[in-house]
Amino acid sequence: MAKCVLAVDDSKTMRDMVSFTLRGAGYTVLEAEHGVAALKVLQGQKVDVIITDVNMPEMDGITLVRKVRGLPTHAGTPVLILTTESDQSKKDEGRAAGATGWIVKPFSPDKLLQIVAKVCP
Amino acid sequence: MTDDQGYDLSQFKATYFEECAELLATAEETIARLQEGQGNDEDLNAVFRCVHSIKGGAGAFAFDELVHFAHVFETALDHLRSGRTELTPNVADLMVRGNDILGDFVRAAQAETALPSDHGADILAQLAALTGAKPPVAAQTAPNAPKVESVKAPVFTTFRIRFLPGPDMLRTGNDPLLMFRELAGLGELEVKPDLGTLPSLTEMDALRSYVSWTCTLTTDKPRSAIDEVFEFVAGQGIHFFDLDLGGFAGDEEGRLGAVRPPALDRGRQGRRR
Repeated sequence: MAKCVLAVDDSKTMRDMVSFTLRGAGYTVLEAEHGVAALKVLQGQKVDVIITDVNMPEMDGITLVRKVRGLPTHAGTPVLILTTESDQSKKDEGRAAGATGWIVKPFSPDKLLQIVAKVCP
Repeated sequence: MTDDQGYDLSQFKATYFEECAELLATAEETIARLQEGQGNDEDLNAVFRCVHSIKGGAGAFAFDELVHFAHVFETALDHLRSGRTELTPNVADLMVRGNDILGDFVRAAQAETALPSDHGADILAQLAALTGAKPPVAAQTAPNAPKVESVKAPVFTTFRIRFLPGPDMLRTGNDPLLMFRELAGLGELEVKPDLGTLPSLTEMDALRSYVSWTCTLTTDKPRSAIDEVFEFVAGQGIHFFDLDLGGFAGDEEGRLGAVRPPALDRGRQGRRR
């Protein structure tokens, strides 16, 4: 059964590109445009990996990580935050919130697949 | 996300530019509110997110000049929203002009044309000054130097890695078995768990890490490849390399050398330095 990834980003471009790459590699991809929408998705669906941007309206990525860690269904689910090279503080903040790791933007499709495979059970 | 061979991401450019037009318009309206003194903290966050999203997509398509300007603009906005820089009327005017220049870079990228190299330089300098930084110099592309190809026989090194994860490793979704799988992809791997610290089943917390491991890896990859495997647990778990048993050359096809150096055998017997 295909592994399921939830891609959370307020940028449709980024969601489209992440989905395109992951679907091409055989993953099932669900999308959400911010943290609140992501939590709604997680209420009805078990996912294997979550990839989330940090800066989003409604609920940012760091808050989403904290919320996910409190969900009985997804407490141990790998969560990768999308960050930029200059955002060391976001990596630290994400890790403190319970994020599994990060993907530094901009990233190549190969890098995305490599990092998702790294954490996908 | 940047384009790789085999992945045609250009199909997403149209979506990106549509999104940019919306983001620039949103930023313009929001900055106007701030200019009139009617804005709030969330408005500053909103403008930051607009510029951040434009930069993120631009990085994916390698629009370097756009990324460069957006980065400086975004940093200035970050200073404003965190209160490190005060939003005065002059600063609000600068935001308006910054958004205009950002739009110029977006339209140039869409039209696949180059703007003059000093386009928006004065605004860029003023935005950088808000953060106390000197205006960063755009990345220069180094001229293509002829590549000198050299073929070297791989050199194998045996590393011993003691991996003592922090108690919360599993709670962050990091799975040691996946790390060992990745490590095994680098060469010949032997993993020995230390179960001595396991509590009884009745005392055990399923999401707490109790076990540590000793990994012996023989690889022709550099140390940085191993660091990358443990990248996400570097802060919470402890891993260290207590014994580098020395390198030895593989054969011409890159296989492990037929002659095993004595040091490797010593390592396999678990000798510690």
